[in-house]
Amino acid sequence: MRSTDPIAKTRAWLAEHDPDVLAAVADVDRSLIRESLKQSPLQHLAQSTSQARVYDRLRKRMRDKRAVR
Amino acid sequence: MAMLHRNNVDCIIAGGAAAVLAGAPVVTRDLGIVHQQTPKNIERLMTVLRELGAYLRPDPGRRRIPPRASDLAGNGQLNLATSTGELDILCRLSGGHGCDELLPHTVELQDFDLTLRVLDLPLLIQVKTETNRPKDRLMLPILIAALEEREEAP
Repeated sequence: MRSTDPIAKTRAWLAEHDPDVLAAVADVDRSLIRESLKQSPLQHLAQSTSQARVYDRLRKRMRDKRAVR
Repeated sequence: MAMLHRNNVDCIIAGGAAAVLAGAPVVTRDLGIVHQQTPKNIERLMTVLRELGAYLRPDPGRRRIPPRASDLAGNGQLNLATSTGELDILCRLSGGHGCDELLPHTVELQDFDLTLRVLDLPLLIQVKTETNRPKDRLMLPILIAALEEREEAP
């Protein structure tokens, strides 16, 4: 897989194995990626995990609310 | 992650955490690692797991079963809960890739006082394509776009 042009290799791999996924690449909003790339890797990971915790708390709260009804 | 580093555990960060470290704007709640399966390294990893109070999850019976060193020497996957969050220990990735085979497909990241070995995006994309789970397929377009953006970044 590793080569001097990883994108071309990856695209060729997906064209053969999963063309639907390759087609969906055009729909990705890249502004979030550019923002993430401005952060250091660990800062970005910390942000991602804290976001996941917020979603977990919200999910739990919604589940508890449904259980009360 | 800091404890793995501090205890000199040889491992590669894989899964969602590797995607995030590579700049993909995805949310991850767990840390996935592939460890070197030498007896010494397994011992070091066990020390970390004991310190973190790791136990197998899901744990509906609340028995808090700790992982065993023999589990870490096998080919399976251990999903653990720890005092700092969820930790998934993968003895091998899909396609049978173990730590040694993965090493040429990793990048070393240095951030704060940590040095991390992380699976590179092209192989992560390949692994997620091979596993073909719906959640992995959803992530794939973002990973490819992240790879393209990284390559284009100055």
